[in-house]
Amino acid sequence: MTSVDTRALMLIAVGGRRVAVHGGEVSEIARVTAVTPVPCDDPAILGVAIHRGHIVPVVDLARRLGEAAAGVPPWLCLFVRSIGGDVGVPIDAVLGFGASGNTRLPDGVTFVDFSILGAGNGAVAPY
Amino acid sequence: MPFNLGRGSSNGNGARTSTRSVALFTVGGVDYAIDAERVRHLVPAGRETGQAVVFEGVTYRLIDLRTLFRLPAVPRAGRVLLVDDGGSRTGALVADNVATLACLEERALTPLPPVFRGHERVRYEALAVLEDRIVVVVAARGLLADAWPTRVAV
Repeated sequence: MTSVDTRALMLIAVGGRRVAVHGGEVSEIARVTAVTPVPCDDPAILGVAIHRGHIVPVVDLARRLGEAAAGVPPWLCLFVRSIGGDVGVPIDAVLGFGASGNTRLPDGVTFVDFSILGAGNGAVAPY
Repeated sequence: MPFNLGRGSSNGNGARTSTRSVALFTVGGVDYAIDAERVRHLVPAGRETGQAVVFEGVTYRLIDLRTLFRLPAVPRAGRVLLVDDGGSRTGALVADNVATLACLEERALTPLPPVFRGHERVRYEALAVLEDRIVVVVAARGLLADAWPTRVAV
């Protein structure tokens, strides 16, 4: 178990789970009304969307976490910066920011390293 | 229908511009583009003989894109693009519909994001925005190689 600066984290709800992400990786939260499916090997890739004039892949984090698939748009999407470029992730809601200066995440919160999600990995580490 | 349009473009001074002529087609509601130079003919669906289309003495192996993309089958009423890969490999791409020709500016092409790491990296060469919709640009060479793997004697 690794300690983190929880003040820099954003808590979101995804597929019924509480997920923590580094706030510094988040570029925007926006509604996505349409996605273009791109047939591919990874069923967690929902397709691509146009976001601020750019084509951005949209990844079903809920599915990566073993939860039910995201369904169809519109979605509330978290856009994050990663090594492989920006990635959109459908979320249920933003739950909050930081965690009262603690260095440990609350029980039941899953930390997701979005920095490598765009490279096709998407490490998921429960704290 | 012979398909002999769009062999690049010029800017009026004879200099080539950075645009590509592509044929647009749809499969499962998604728009795809393929380099127009790779399209030899366009024929209606229904000319298949077994797993191939024979046209003007050339055999084009059938590639049902719905099957390849794991989409539900529909009654075959689409169009077939008879294509080559710039070499010896040919294919008959069964699409739902073939729309038109278009010019894509090279600078409008977006490389396939790294999150795509499977066969799609071979099948597609880029993505593009065309009139507010996203078009998947097919790599003819990769698509034909992927759908028609080399047979190895064992």
